[in-house]
This record gives sequence, C-alpha cells and structure tokens, in this order.
Amino acid sequence: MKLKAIILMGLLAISFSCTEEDLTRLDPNRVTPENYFQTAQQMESAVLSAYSTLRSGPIASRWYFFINDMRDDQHMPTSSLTILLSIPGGNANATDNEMREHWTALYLMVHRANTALDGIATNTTVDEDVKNSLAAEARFLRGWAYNEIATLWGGAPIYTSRLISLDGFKPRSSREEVFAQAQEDFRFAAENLPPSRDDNSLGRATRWSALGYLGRSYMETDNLAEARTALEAVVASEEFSLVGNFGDLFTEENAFTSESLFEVVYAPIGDYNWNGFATGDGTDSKSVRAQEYGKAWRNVAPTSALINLYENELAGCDYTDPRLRETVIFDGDTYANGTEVFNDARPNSPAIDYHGTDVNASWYKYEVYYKLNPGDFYTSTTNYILMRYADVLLLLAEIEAREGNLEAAKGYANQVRQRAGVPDLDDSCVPAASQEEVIKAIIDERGKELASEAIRARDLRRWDRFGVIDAADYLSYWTDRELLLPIPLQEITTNTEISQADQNPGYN
Amino acid sequence: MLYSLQKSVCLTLLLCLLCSAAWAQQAVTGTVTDGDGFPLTGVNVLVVGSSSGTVTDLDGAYSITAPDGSMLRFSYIGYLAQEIEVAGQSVIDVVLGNDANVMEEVVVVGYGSQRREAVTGAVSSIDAEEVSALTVSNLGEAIQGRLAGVQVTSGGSPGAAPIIQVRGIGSISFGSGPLYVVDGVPGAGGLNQFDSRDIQSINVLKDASATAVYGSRASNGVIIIETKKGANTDGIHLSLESTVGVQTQPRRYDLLNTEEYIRYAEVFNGAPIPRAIDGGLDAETYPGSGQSFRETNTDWQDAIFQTGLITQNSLHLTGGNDRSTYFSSFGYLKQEGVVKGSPYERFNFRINSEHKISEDGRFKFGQTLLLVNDERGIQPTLGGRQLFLQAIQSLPYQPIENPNNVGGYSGAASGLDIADPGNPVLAVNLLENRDRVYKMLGTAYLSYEILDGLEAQAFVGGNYQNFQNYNRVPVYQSTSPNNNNTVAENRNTTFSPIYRGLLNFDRLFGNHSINAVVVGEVQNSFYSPLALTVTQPNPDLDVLEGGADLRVTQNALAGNESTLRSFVTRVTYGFQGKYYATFSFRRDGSSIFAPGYQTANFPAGALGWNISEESFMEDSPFSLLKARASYGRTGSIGLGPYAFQDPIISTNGPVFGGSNQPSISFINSLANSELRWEITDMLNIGLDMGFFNNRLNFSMEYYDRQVDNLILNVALPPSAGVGTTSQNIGALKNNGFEFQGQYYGNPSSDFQWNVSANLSTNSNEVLRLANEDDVIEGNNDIEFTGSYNSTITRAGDPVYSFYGFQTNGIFQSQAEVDEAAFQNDLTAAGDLRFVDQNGDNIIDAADRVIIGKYLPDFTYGFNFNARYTNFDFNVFFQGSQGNDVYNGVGSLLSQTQRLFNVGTTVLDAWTPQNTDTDVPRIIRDDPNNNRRVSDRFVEDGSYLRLKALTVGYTLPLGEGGALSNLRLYLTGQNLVTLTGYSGLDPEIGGALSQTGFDNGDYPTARSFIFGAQVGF
Repeated sequence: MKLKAIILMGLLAISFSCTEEDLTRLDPNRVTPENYFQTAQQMESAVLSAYSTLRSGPIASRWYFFINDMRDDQHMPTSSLTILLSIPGGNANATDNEMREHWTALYLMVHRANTALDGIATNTTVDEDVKNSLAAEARFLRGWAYNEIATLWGGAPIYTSRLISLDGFKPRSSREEVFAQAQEDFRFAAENLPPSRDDNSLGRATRWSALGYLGRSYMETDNLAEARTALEAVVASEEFSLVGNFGDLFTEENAFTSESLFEVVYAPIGDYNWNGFATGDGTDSKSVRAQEYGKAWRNVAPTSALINLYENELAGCDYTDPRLRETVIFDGDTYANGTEVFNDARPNSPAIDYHGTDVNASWYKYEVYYKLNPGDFYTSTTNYILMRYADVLLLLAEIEAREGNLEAAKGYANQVRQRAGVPDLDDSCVPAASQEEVIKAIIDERGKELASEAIRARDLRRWDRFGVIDAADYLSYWTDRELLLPIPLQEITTNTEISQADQNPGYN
Repeated sequence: MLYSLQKSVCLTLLLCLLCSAAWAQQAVTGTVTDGDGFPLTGVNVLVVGSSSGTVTDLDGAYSITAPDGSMLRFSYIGYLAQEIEVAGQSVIDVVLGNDANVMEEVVVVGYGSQRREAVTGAVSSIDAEEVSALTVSNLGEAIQGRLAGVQVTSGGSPGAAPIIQVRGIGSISFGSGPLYVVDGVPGAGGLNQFDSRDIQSINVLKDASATAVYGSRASNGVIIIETKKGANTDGIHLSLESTVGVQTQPRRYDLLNTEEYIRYAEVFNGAPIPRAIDGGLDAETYPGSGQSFRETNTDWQDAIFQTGLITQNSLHLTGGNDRSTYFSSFGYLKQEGVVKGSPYERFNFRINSEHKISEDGRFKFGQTLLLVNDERGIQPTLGGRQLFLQAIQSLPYQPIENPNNVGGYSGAASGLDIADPGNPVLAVNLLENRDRVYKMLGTAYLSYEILDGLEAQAFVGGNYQNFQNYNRVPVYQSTSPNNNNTVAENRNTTFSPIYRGLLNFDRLFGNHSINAVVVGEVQNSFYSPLALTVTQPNPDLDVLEGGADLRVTQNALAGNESTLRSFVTRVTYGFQGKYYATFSFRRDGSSIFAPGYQTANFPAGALGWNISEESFMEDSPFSLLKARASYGRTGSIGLGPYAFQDPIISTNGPVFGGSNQPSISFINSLANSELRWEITDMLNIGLDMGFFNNRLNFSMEYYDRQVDNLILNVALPPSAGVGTTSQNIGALKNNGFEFQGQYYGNPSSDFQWNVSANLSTNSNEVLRLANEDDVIEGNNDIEFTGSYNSTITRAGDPVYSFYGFQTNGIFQSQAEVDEAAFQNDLTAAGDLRFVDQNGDNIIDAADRVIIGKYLPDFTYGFNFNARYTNFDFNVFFQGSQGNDVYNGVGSLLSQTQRLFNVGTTVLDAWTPQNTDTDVPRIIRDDPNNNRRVSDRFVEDGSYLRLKALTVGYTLPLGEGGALSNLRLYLTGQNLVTLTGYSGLDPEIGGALSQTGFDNGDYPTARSFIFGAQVGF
C-alpha cells in the first residue's frame, strides 16, 4: 500500500507541478502589425477600414450632415436632439459631445489610413505599383479627413504615421499647414489612384475623387488658380456628365451615377449601424439620413431662406425652378406617386414664409417620398454623395466669375441650369450682367443646386473669410468666431501639446 | 528563475516522498463528555497540524489514528477546547468544560489551517449558522454586515452579484473584489452558484501575511469558503430545510397623475400638446377601450412592481463511519423578485466525501463535487433605457395595454404626445433576457502522511462553467415598433483546471513549534465564446434555428487561455506558545503579461505575541491578550490575456458596388507591453482581547494599505486615433480600523444569549494618477447627468468622488441673472444659480467641485441571538454611515429638458408668482441645464437596516419518532430601513464605478419568510 501511495503521489507531483512549457501566450485570434502586412489583400483591407469610419455615425451617417447643414441658412432644427441644441445658431461649445465625436472619428480615419500606410511602407514583397495605388487610396482618405478638420476647426494636430508611444502627441499646426497636408495627400492620390473602379469596387476613390477634393481644398485656401487646374482636369477627363433628371441623383435605385465623384455607399444589408456607431464597422449598412430629415423623426426642416431662393413665378419669374420641389415638400403636396398627401408627422415647427404665405415644409431631397410613404421608421439605402460633378462645374464657374471671366463662368453655371430645367442666366430672371451679379448668381446657384448636401455652410464661411460675402447677411447670429468650431475640450485636456490658449477665438 | 524554483519544489516533493520513513502510528479511542458526565456528540477530534480528524458519535466515542508524539485536539462549540499529547496512550477520555468562546479554534488559512493562537494575520470568520441565516440567492448577501472589514453592497435584483470590498477599494480601473477560494480552488467564484446552506465556514483573509500565499490575486482580500464535510455518525442523517416567503417593495416615487401631467405638459410646451387639441384627450385611448385618455390614470410603477415569491429548499444527507464520511445535498431556490421580469432560480447538487484508504489513516482521499444550474432574468431595457426610467417617464394618461397593437401594449405617439417613453410593462412581459449558468466544480486530493507531522498532498480541481445569455425581442408595436423577431444567444464556456502538489509539516519540539507548507501549483483557464443573433421570420419561434440574417457578434468568437504558475511557502515558528513568527512567500508567473514581465514575488512576514501567556499576566483580567503585526505584499490583475499585444482586428465594414462588403482590418489599441500586476503593500496591527474566560472578546485591527502600479486607462487625445492605453501608473491608499466584539451570556442558564457587533472604517485616497493634474471622470449617463460626468478620480481625493456644480438658489429676476456669473444666453429668472468657483465670471466645466463621496465613513453590523427553552430569537442590524448617494432618479424626476412624466416636485416649480421654492422653472429644453450634475441631487445615503428578525421554535420530540428534530421559524428580512435618503433605497449597487449613483437601481426587497428545519 505504502509503495503504491508513494508512486502515485510522486507521479502526480511530477505531472502537476513540473511542466516546463513557456508561459508566453500570444493571442491566437489575431496577428500583430509586424506580422500582418504580407499580401496586397491585407494592405487593401487596412486601407478599406478608413472607409468604414467615413460611413460611421460621427461622420457620413449622422454628424457630418448635421454639423455641416445646421450651420447654414437653409436648415432649422425641429427637435431637441442634443446635436441640434448645440450646433445650430452659434451655440457650439468645446464640450459638445457630437462635435467631439466628429473630430475623433475624422482622426480615426487618419489613424486607420496611417496604419495602412505604415504597413505598406514596411512591405518589400508586393509590387510597387500595387502598393502605390493602395497608398494613394489611404492618402486620399487621410487627406479627406484633414480637409474636413481644417475646414471645420482650422489648425489641428497632424499625424502622418500611427502613434505608437505616449510621447508622440502632436501640437496644433496652423490652418494652412493642415490644408497643405490635405492637399499634398490629394495630389499624391491624384497621381497614383486608378481612373476608374470595377463594379465590385464602386465607391472607392478614383483619381477624379482626389482631383475634385483637391479643387475644393484649394478653394478653402483661396488658391483659385490651383483649384482651377485640378477641377479642369476633372472636366477634361470626360469621365463625368450631369445626370439628365436632377431628382434621380438622390434615389435608392441610382448609385454611382455619371455625376458622382465620391459617395458613401449604403446597401440593404442589416439595419442602421447603431452598434458600430463610432467606427462604422460591422455589417449593418443602411442609413437614417432620410429618417433624420423626413418622416418620422424630422429633426430638421428647410428654412424660408431656402425655399424663397429658387426662381419662382410667385417672385415674378415666368417659370419656377423645378429643383424647389425636388428639394422640399410642402404640407398638402401629394407624394409616393400621387398616392399620399403629405401631412407632416411632426408638426412641432413653425410655418415658414413662402413668398408671402405660410407653409409647412419638409425636406424632399434624399427622402423616399418619390416612391413611397416611409411610415414610422425607414432606413434607406440611398448612397450619400459627398462630391458631384455639378459642384465641380459651379466651383469652376465661381473661379471664373471671381477672376472676371464672366462668360466662362456663366457657361459652367448654365450647364447646371440646363439640366435643372431653368433658362440660362442671361435668359433668366436672375440678374447676371455685372461681375458682382454673376458672383451673386453663382452663390445662389450653389445654394439651389447643392442644398442640404453639407456644402452651404462651408461655402458661406469660405466666402466670408475671403471677402466674397458678409456671412452676417445670411446668418443672423454671425460673429467671426463662427468661422470655426471650438477645439473639443477633451483634446485640450488630454493632449499635452495643446493648451487652452490654443483654443479658437471666441470660445472657452 | 521561476522554472528552476519550480523544479526544486518538485524535487523536494519527490525526495520527501521517496525518503519517507514510517513513524509509529498509534490508534487512539475514547469518549468525550461534558462536565456533568453526559456524552458529547459531534466533538471535533483533530490531529494537530494535520487534516486528519474525526468527530465523536452519539455516545461521545471516537476512534482515531494519530502519530505517536502528536497532539490531539478536542473542540466543540460552546466548550473549552483541549489539546492532549498522545504520548503512547491508546485510550484518551476527555471532559470538556463549558466555555463561551465560540471563536473557531482552528482557523482555515490559505493552504492549510492554523490554531487560533498561532494566527498572526487578520482573519475574520463566520460559521454555517450565520451564513444560512438569511434566505438569499447570492452568498455575498449572506455575509453583509457580519464581518469587520468586509463591505457588501447588494445588487438588488435576484441573483445580482453584490459588490464586495475587503478593506476598501484597491483598484481604479478594475473591479476590486476579493479572491474566492472554494474548497481549495482559487477563483472559483460566481457566488450565485453556491448554496448558502452548503457552507461550513467562510474565512476572510484580510492582511498581507494571511493573503500573500495567494500572491498575485490577493490584493483585495481572500475569501475562503469551505463546504460541509461528512461526519462519523451513527447511520445516515437526513435533514430538510425549507423556507418560503414573499418579498415586497412598498416604496414608490411620487409622480404626476393624469390631471397634473396634462397641466404640466401645457406649461412645458407653452401651449397645449397636440394630443390636448381638438378633444384628443377625450377620445378613446384606443378604439374599443371605452375610456378616454383623460379618464385613464395609469400607475406605471405599480404595473411593474410585484409581490414576489421566495423559497429555498435543501435536503442534506450526512453520514459516514471511521473510514469514510460523506455529505451530499440537493438545493432548490426560486426568487421571483419585486420587479416583474427578474426571477432567479437555482438547482444545486453536491457530494463531498473523505476516505481513509489505508487502515492506519495515513493515506487519504477526499473529493468535492458541485453541480449547479441557475437562471436569472435580467431586468429588461427598452431603447437602451432602464426599466425604472421608463416607468417614471411613461405618460399617466396612456393605458398599459392596447389590443390593437401587435403584442398588445400601448405606446406614446411622439407627434401627438411630444414624448416617447417606452412601455415598461411591454418590456417586462415581451422582452426576454436571461442568463443561465451550468457549472461543475470538483476537487479531489490524495494525501499521505510520510512522517509524523509531514504530509504530502496531490490536489486536482476543475471549474467548468457554461454561460448562456438568451435575448429575444419579438415583433411588437408601441412607442417605437419592433418589426423583427430577433433572437440572440451569447454563450461561453470556461474551464479552469488546477494542479497542486503540497507538503505540510507541523511538529512540536519541546518549546518550539513549526508549521511549514510548500506548494507548487499550476492553474489554467480556457475560455471560448460564441454569440449569434438571428431574425426569426416565424413569430412563433423563439430559437436560433431557422433564423434569417444570422449574425455573429464581433469579437464573440475570440477564445483565450491563460496560465498561472506558482510556488508558495509559509513557515510559522512558535516559541512556548507565546511568540510566533510567520514568513510566507509566493512567486507567480502569469501568461497574461509580455515576456520579461511575467513573474513577481509576493513576500510577507508577521509577528504575534500572546501576552496573556506571560507569567506577569497571571493575575490580569485578560483571559486572552494578543498583539499582532504584519507586513507584506500582494498583487492583483484585472487585465485579460493578451493585453500586451496590439492586434490587428478584422471585421466587416463598408460596402462597395452595391453589395460587396470586403473584410477590413485595423488597430484600435495602443498596447503597453510593460504592463505588470497592481501591487498592494499592507501593514496590519492587531490586538485580540478576551475577558471572563473569553466570554467577552474583542479584536481590533488597524491597516494601512498602499496600492501602487495601478493600471490606468490613460486617455489619449482624440487626435491620436486610439482612445486610451493602459499604464502601471497610479497609486492609492486605504487605511482604517476594524472592531469586532462578542459577549456570551451565561451558557449554563436556561436563557442563553450572545451579542456581537462589528464596525469598520475605511478612508480612501488616490495618491497618483498618470499625470499630476490628471482626472478620471466617469459615469456619464445623459438621462441622469445632463451631459456631465458625475464622478471624478484625482490625486488627493477618494476614488469616484461625486463631481459637479454647487448651486446657490434660484434666480428671482433677470437683474439677478445679469449680475451673476454668466451661465448661458438663455439663463433666465427661475433657473438655478451655480457657484462660480474659479471666479472667472463664467460658469463652465471648470467650476465643478467635489460634491460628495459614495464611500462610507464606516459600516457596521449588530447581531443578537437568544434561546430560551424551545424558543430562539435572532435580530440582526446592518448599516452604513457617512456615504452620499447621487440621486440620479431625482434628477430625472425634475428634468424639464424633454417632455416625460416627472415627479410631483415640479408642481412647486418657480414661477413669477411662486418664488419661494427651490424647484427651478419648468422650461422646455432646459436651456440653463438645471439638471446638470450638482449638489442639488447629492443626498446623505447613511442607513441603518433591520436586516433580519427571526423567531424560531423547536418542537419537543420524543425519542424514536420519525422525526429527530423539528424547528419552525419566521424571519423578516429588511423589515425596517432608517435613512434620510429620498429615493427607493439608499443601498445602491451596480458596477463599482457607479456605486452610490442611483440611476433607478433595483431596490432591496422586504421579505417575510416562514421556514422549517426537519431532521429525520
């Protein structure tokens, strides 16, 4: 017995206590970056992750359009959604959550693009052309983010590689430096991105996306000549044309039109992406854009300034701009192919003046009223256009007008007007004789054509900044601080390189 | 280094095993009687220093094999223990004298037990009777208020884990609950799964000298739970204990009724709400209801509260002979809870046994096995909002039901009502969310006494747990409809095997006593999860099978494994029973950390002096006087495996070309490969006193606990692209006193009674965060805090202090607004005036200050037991003093940002006519953010609770009947709570960092319970 016991105990003691295996355990589920970037496919998936954030809640799926639209003269808030309490009317504050989320997500795009760029740079086995093309795509997305950051906040930290240690925080660079970074990224992208995408990759940036945004970015820094070069290259490519029917641009059925330079893709996969709100990750791929501006949330309504901007028989023209009713819908209008009468489900907003009468108006652009009644909750799959050819043409028109080439300017503007179904400027009720009148006509044309596409607010600020208009004529609450948003307080408190003294003027 | 140490341990073990030489064994028999000559049944007879022992039978007889030269220890509750040297005797009869000293004579410490007088650390114990005094689903609740230094905050809902803190908060980033060692298996916790009536004893190791043998997991204290063992009885003892009762929660918030609400809504809206226009309120609530909105007055709180059944039933089988003993039990517990939709149910089965394999008793085998299955309903949320919040905010003019809606429940119409509360009754009835655990915890050991006093043990244990969360949201129409019948299951399996080799040596050599233990141990953990969601197209089906749109939750497939490898030793040396010194050492190696950072040492030392044993104390009034001091180091780790790696994450992301959703990959962390354990260094000074032959005894402890290397999530600038990273950078300290005292009434009289009380103080201070001026703000729940965080952790203050604005009355006029520091463009008369702390004439985030602390100044318990003839009586109070509660619900009850139902306080809101009030004006959107985190909602959360009141009666049964014992009793739990707190319940559990923040926490229930104990 005793012997047995001894042997047993001895064996147990050995087997239980004397394993010599190494303690190190590496995560079997994942790889580390040092081991990751082996193939083009891996690099590509790292690049594509930045698109995920582009479509996230804090950017294209929610805050991007609120933050941009609500700071113009064409939108008014009609609910107490917190972002609507802070962003419109000059109420922005450094502690605003949604604004901080927008900033954070834009930098998440930068981080993801940088992760891809760092990985691509370390790879020595994949073909250089493939790597350049992928790097160009990452730089386009990084440039896109920096362009937005500089537009909204001016100066900001610039990271061109992934942060890997705690002593690598960046201070605030100037507005010009951030735009310069964006423009450098766009230029590299324009040189190295492919001119087109195959059917499975539609929605990914092309050379023309980069050139279009390079043009926009130069407009923000008032480099009209460089902007013209970039935008003319888009025109000269002959890759783009205006879609025949203006309203067709914003329907679920029409994606990747001949007019689109860059758009965010939504698809009938899953639901709206609440789970991946901050990052855009996950399968859910629908959009609440229609819901936000229309039935049944209707957080936003159009203003009188918008509906009275269109050339209208009620204002003495002998025609009415068809874009008015492609952009807004009035109570009492029929919709859903004439089967429904519009009776706004959320009447808690004031009636607005429509050439002397009071109307209740809602947004029509990006809604699905063209085909159905969305009911109480509708997540749409309409792609969200970030830049389109009409914008290119109107930016060129603006450049020509501001440089005094009025005929060239009108030529560009008339292309857009013809598609819209309104007479050329010279035959219209819009005065367009003097340079001042042509510039004003183009300012208004942009307001009519691009309404509610997150462009008006930046246009107003850009024009005010460079003396084209006085924004106070458009925004009653205007003071110069409205040129920029406040740097989020969290950035100031956590970034050792930034202090309260770096805050934008007029904010605390 | 570790490996070589391990090797040497193994070698030592082997050597000892191989070189074993037989020491003489002596069979000893005898009887144990009391002073009057009556035999004592169930007296513990133990060979000192070993785990071999027996109990006396009905005739008081025992039989044990003991090494010659060893000591036998005879102990029995209520009697003075005796130790007698075997010294060749084969018959030892013992007479035990009465004694009031009920303190456990042998104290279970890590990897063994020690005689109370040799204990140099701080150890608190409670026995089976106290553990099972209450009918509760979670064992943690059973020890609330009973142990000095152990603070328990109940989670409220049935089966919700309470927060248990031993000697304060020891971590900032991680839960700082203690390590649970159940039947020798560290980390076997999940206290729901243990039946309180299976428990033999709970010992809490508090100071470093006691805990350091558990090394890297011991910083927050160690709770050692031993389950019942068998006994050498005459035949099989079958006993049954059943309790059944009801639980209620009578308190309610005062909310607006329909008539008041309609008035309020009009003031809020500045005009009648759309529902109130054109006779909308006089319309039927739904076609066919026969009742208008105006006539409806729904009490949404009553609709979700209920009187719930609670019952706990246990069947125990105890038996054995001189070679084998066993204990087996079956338990069933069901608790419906006081809120609908939160039931808890448990089945548990246990078998424990011990066997002497060899006749001489030196070779032994023992095992424990627990099989348990429990299910817990999770209080549902609707639209991400808590149930109580929905019940408070629901509109009183809305009916509960609407048969015209799919699912049958009403909903608000956001257009007509301007408010969109979810229907809480829908939530409790239609939404299913429950956790189910299947658990198997088993241990087995073989031990062999190689030499007298030297025992070797091989121990294996396994903890297997299968967790399933089931979540179903059926199709319904209500405030916001749900169009998909979704079913989700989140399952995971954890398996943690443990292997241990142990050598124990316990001998007396004249004046010298040595107790030493050497342990080698490996514990692994394997975790594998799976989480799926489907949309089930058939509304009748509530299973995953056949579901469409099958989705795997991101990261829900990532299993992990970890290993903890340890060497432990402890040596206690005693001289003349007066002076004791203990040294312990543990070296842990963990796979959680990066290579080069995987091991750490945890040493501790202690001294004890039994002053009362000194000759100069002979004439003193002390029957016991002992001083103790200890100092040592322990660690803790809340990190999961692989935290040192920066992994590439892959998932789905954007769509291209209409339907192509390629995989994306990214990094969302900034890993720190230098992470290490959080470290506690603790000093403990203790004093034990006994008077009147220990009928009155008293212990006090002082501890000073310095925690360093705290892992903190260091917030990165948002521009860094990664939210946070972790660093071993923080430090905090806890110190406090603990007092525990007992007095036993005269044990020989008919009226027997005893009283015990304990009190613990704790003061917590954060010493260091990542940077000097760093603050960690937390607990932002926009529904309750109005966009501000409610807690702050910063150097110089206690962790998670409440942080917000100080208020200074209400602006009575625009002139006052203009004169005061600028708050907001829209600030007007009737708004709150906040204090401009920094004097910059602007009220902003910089004007926030600490406005309260949730940590109490002290917690205490008071227990009184009495027995007179066949009656027994127990009363138990428990309380907390000096803690604040942030009344988040109070903020909800007075918010006017959005239209919802609110508390009746708004009826007294400021208006130009009603200026003598502290309730700000009713103003839509609350532009001044009156509901922001402020001292307005900080309340004193001190309370004293009559936790239990029990009256029992034991029926006098004659010999030879079917029943050997029958006791009936009535217990009231939580009968009375004295508090100044205005919410439902001052005891606010929840996540640690939200402790003391009342966001509609599940209130403690009052229970009335009838019980019967039957022995067959």
